[in-house]
Amino acid sequence: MTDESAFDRLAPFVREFIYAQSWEGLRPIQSEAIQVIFDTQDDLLITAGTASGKTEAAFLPILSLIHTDAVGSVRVLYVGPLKALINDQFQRLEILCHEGDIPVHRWHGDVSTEHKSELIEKPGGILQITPESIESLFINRTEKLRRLFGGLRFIVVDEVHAFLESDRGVQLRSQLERLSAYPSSGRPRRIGLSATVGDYEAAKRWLNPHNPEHVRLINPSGITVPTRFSHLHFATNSADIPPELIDDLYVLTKNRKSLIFCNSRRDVEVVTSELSRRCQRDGLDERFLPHHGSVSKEIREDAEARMKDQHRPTSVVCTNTLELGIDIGQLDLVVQIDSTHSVMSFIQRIGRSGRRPGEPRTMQIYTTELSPNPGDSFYERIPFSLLQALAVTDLFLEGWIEPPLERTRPYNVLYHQVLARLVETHGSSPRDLVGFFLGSKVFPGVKPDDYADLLKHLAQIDHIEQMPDGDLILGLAGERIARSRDFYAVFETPPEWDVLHGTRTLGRISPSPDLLPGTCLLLVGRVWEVKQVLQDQKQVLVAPAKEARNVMFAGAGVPEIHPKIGQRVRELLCRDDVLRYLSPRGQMALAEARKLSDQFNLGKKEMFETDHQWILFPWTGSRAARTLQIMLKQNGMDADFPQMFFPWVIGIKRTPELKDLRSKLQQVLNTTITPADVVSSIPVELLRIHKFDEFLPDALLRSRAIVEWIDWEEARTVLMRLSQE
Amino acid sequence: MPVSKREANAILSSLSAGVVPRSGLRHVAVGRLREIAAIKQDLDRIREGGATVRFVVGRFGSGKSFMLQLARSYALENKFLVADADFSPEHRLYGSDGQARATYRELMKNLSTQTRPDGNALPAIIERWISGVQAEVSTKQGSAAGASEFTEAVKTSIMATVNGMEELVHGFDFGIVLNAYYQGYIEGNDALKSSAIQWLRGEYNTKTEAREALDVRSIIDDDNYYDYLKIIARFAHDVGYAGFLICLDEAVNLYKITNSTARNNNYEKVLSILNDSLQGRTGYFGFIFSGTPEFLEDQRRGLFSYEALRSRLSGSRFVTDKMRDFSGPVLSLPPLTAEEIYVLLQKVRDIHRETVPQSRALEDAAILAYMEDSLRRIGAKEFATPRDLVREFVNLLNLLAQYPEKTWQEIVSGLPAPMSAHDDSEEPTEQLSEGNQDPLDRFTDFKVK
Repeated sequence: MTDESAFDRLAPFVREFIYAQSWEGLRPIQSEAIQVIFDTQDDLLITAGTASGKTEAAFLPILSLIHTDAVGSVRVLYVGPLKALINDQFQRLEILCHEGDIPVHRWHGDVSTEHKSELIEKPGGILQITPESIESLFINRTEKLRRLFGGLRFIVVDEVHAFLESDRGVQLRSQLERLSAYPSSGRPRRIGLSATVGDYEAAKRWLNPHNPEHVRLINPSGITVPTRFSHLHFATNSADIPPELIDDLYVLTKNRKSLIFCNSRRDVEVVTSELSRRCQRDGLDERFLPHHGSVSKEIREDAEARMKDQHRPTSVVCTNTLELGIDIGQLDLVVQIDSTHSVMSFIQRIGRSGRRPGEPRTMQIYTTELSPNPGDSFYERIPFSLLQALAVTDLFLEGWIEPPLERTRPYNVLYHQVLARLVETHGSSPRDLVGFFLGSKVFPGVKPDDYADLLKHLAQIDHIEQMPDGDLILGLAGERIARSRDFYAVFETPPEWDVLHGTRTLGRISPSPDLLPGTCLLLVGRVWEVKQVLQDQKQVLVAPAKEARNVMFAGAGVPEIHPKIGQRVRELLCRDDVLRYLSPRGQMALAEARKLSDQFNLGKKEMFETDHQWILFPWTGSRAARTLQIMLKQNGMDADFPQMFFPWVIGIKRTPELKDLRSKLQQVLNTTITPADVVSSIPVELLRIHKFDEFLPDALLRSRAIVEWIDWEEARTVLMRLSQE
Repeated sequence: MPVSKREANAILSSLSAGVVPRSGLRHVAVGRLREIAAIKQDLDRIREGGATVRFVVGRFGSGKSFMLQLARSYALENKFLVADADFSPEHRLYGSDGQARATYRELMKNLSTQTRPDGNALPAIIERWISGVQAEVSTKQGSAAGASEFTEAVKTSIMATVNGMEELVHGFDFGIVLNAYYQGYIEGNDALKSSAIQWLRGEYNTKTEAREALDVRSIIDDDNYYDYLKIIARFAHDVGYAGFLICLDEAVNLYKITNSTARNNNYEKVLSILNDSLQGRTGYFGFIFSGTPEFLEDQRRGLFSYEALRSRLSGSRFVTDKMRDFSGPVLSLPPLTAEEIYVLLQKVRDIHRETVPQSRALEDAAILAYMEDSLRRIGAKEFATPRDLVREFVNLLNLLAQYPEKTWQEIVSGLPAPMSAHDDSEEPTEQLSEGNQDPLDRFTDFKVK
C-alpha cells in the first residue's frame, strides 16, 4: 500500500494532525500497520527500534477506527511496563486524542480517586495501565469490569520484549485472557509494540497463544540505523577501574548528556565519585549522578528529572535500572563499562541514545583486563572480558539477538493468578478453575497433575479451601495475601542475603541454587569461601579463600549468557579481521590472544591436560555450563570455573582414580541420568528465588528449575563433543 | 487594470500576515469560477426579491474568507447593502447574554455601500433616502415648495415607506425611529438624530432609556435582532438598493460552543434563517456563512448534529469530485489545483516585483520547484492551504529582496550551501582524549539493522 492511500484511510482529524506535525511522510511500518488494522481482524506485532514511530503506527489507525464511538466503554487498553510510561510519544498522541474528542485515562497508584471514579462513571477512550493496576482492578472493582470493558476493542502492549521472559509477562498474558471474557463484541484485538526481538515466533506466541498464525508481523527489513562505536581497552594490575579510563570518560562526557552503564552497584559508586572529584578539581558544578537499586527513590527521581533538563550537561551512572524505558530525554551517547552479558541488554542500552531523527546511536565501550602474571597458565592469559565485549558487539552488528526464554512453567505466577481468579469469580469449582487456565494456554508447560499438586498444597497451607458444594474459595491465609497491597505485583526486588566475615558485613548477594558451603564467591575485590549458609537468617558466612577453587558461577541476579556468545568468542579468536572501532591497545590485546589461540589450536582442541587438572573449553552458555558442572560433580569429578565470570573454561581436578577423562565423560553420557536427577541435588530453599515461591510445593520448584535453571540439551551436546574429541 | 502602488502594498502586507486583503482582490483571484458564478446567481435572486443562504465550507486557509470578501466586493459594486461580521465566543447568532446583539451591532458597524465601503454607512443611507424623497417630492410639486407644504409632502412619502414596513414584525417601532430621525433632520436636532441611529445600531440597553429618548416601546436585543435585519433588507430595497447581503465568517466558533444547549440554540437560528429563505418569507435578503467542514458535517457537534439541518444541507448522493452541485446551499471549496496555485504565486510575484524595490525576479521554474518542495510533505495535497503557501511565498520574496546573496533553496532549507568538508588528515596515534580534541572524533560509523 502506498503512503498516500494509507494516509487517505485515516480519519480526517488524524490526517490533519499528521499534516500539522510536518511529517515528511508515513513511515513504511505505519502504512503497513494501517493496512493490517483496517483490512484484517488479525493481531499485530510491530517490531522496530526506538524512535521509529511504532506507537503512532498502532494508534493512528486505531484512533481512526474508534473515534466515532469512543465512549461508553474503554475502547483501547494501553499496557506498558512502567508506572508512568508517559513518554514523549504518547504526549504527542494525547494532543491527537484531544482533537478527536477521545478521552485518555490513566490508572495507577498515583492517580487520584476522583479520576478513577470519573473513569468508572463514564468509561471511554484509552486507558493507560500497568499489569499491577489491571490486577488491582480485577480485585477491587470486580463488579465494574463489564461496565469498563464491555466494548473494549484493542489491547496495545508496549515494550513486549520486556514482557517476554518475565513473571510480569506471564501475569499480563493471563490477565489478557481473563479480560477477553468481558467485551460483548468478542475478543479484543491485540497489538504488540516491541524493539527488535530474537525470536519472532515466540513473540507471536506470547501475543496470541491460541492462534499465533493470526498475528501479523511488521518488521521493517533493510532499514539500517546509523550507529557509532568506540571501544577502548585497558590492561590493569588491580581490580580497580584504571584512572586513565576515568580520565577519558570524564573528557568524553563532562559537556554532554549521557548514561554510563556499569555492571555492579559498586562500580557505579566508584565511577560516580571519581568523576565528581574531577569536576571539583576543574570547578565544574555537579553533573554525574548515581542511579541503582540501592539508591533511594528520591535520589533516583531527582536524577531522572535532571536528565530531562536539556540545557544542562548531566550524566547518570547506573546499573540496569535505566535500561528500560524510563523517559530521561535526549541523550548524546551511552557508555558501557565492561561488557553486557547479552546482546539484548546491549541493544536496550545503546537504544537510549540516538532518539532524535537522523541522529546516530552512539556507544563508548570500555573494557579492562588484569594483566597476566608470569606464572599464569595459558587459559589465564586469554582476555575474556575483552572478548566477551567484542563478541556481543559483533553479534549486534550482525543483527542477532538472544531468543527469549519462554516461560512454560512459572508456577509462582500460576499461584498468583489462581488466587486472583478466585477473587474475580467469587470462588469457582476446581474444574472451572483448572479448565480456565488449561484453556488459556498461558501456562503451556503446566500439566493437569501439577494443578492437582498445587491446589492440594494450597489447601494444606490454608491459602484456599473447599466449600461443602465443592467450590474453591480463598482460605484465611490466602485472603491475607490477596488483600494486601503487595499482592498486585508478581515481581519483587530479589531478596538479598548478607555476606558476613566474622562480625563484618562484606556486602549483599542474591541467593542462588549454587550457593553452597565450599564454593567461592567474589566480593569487594577478593575471593571468599562460603563456610555456612543460614537460610532462615538469610546470611552467608564466609572466610578468605586460600585458593580460588569451586568458584560459583554467577548466581541469580546476574544475567545468563547465551551459548552463541561463547561460540562467537571462539570464532573471534580464530579470525584475523581488524575491528575498526577498537583502540590500538585493544587491537594489540586481541592480536596476542589470537596468537595464543593459534599456538594452542583453540579452534579445534577443547580439552587440555596439565599436571594437576584437565582444562575443558565448552564454549557454551551459562546455563549449560552450570548443568555440566552439576553432572560432573554428581559423577565424582571436582569441576569448577577458574575464570570466575566466564563459563568458557572448566577445570577438573586430576585424581588417582580418574585416568581417562574422555571415557569417563562417555560414561556420564551413557548413564540414565535425567534432568530431574540434575536438579535433585540442589537444596530446595535455594530454588525459592521468585515472589510467592514460598507457597509452592518442592516438586514444582524442581520442575521449574529443569526448564529455567539448567540447559539439559545444550549440556549433553557439549558433553558429547568433549567426549569424542 | 494595473494595480496601484497603495493597493499592491496592502495586498502584500495582508498576504504576508495570512489575512485576506480588503481591496484589490481581483489582482490575486484565481480559479473558483463556478463558485463565483454561484454567488453572482445568488445576488441576482436577491435583487429580484428572493432570499438566499449559502454555506461556504472549506478548511482553515482554503480561501473561505477570500470568497466572502470577493462576494462582498461584487455585491457592493452591484449596489447592494452589505454587512459582515466574524463569529467569536462573544458574537453568536443566539445568546442570552448579549452575544447575539453583539453580532448585530458588529453588522451595523460594518454596514457598507459602494460609496462607503469601509462601514458605518447607516446614517448616510438614511440621509440619502431622505434627500432622495425630497428630490422626488420637489420634482413632483415643482420648485414652488412652500416650506410646510413641502415638509408635509415629504413626510407623507416617508410614512408611505414606513407604513409599508408595519406588516413586518417590529416594523411599527422601526417606523417610529425613522420618523424620529426625520424629525431631528428637519428640526436640525442632532441629538435626536444620533439617538435614532444609536437605537438602530442596537446600542440602547434598556427600554426605559429608549422610551425617554425616542418614545419607542422596544429596543433591539438578543431575541429580536433578526427581525430588524429583515426590516433593513426590505428598507434597503424600498430606498433603492439591490438588496441586503450579510456575510458571517468563522462559523467554527458556533461549533466550538461547549454547552450543547447553547450550541443547538444557535443552530436553531441557522435553521430559521434557512427556512425563511427556502419558504420565501423574506425578500431582498441574502446570507453567506463560512465555516470549516466540521462545522457543517460533524455529526456530534456540527450543523449535521441537528437533524433538520442535516436533511436540508447534506449534499446530493450523486455529487462526486468531478460533478459538483452548485445549486444547493452548500458551496464547498475544493483545494486549489496545482495550476491555480501556480498562477496565484505568479501573480503575487509580479505584484511584488512591481512594488518592492529590491525584489528579485524568481523565474517560473523556481516557483514550480518551490511549490513542489512545499507540497512534498505528507498530507500537503489535502491540507496545504493557499493561505499558508502564499504567506510563506511572500515572506520568501521579502527575504530574497533583503539577502541578495542567498538562493531561495538556501532560505527554504535554512541550511547554508555545502562547503568543502573540514579536512583533518592527521592520523591520531593516541586515541585517548586529550586537551581540545573531541573524543567523539574517534568513533567509527556503522549501519545496523
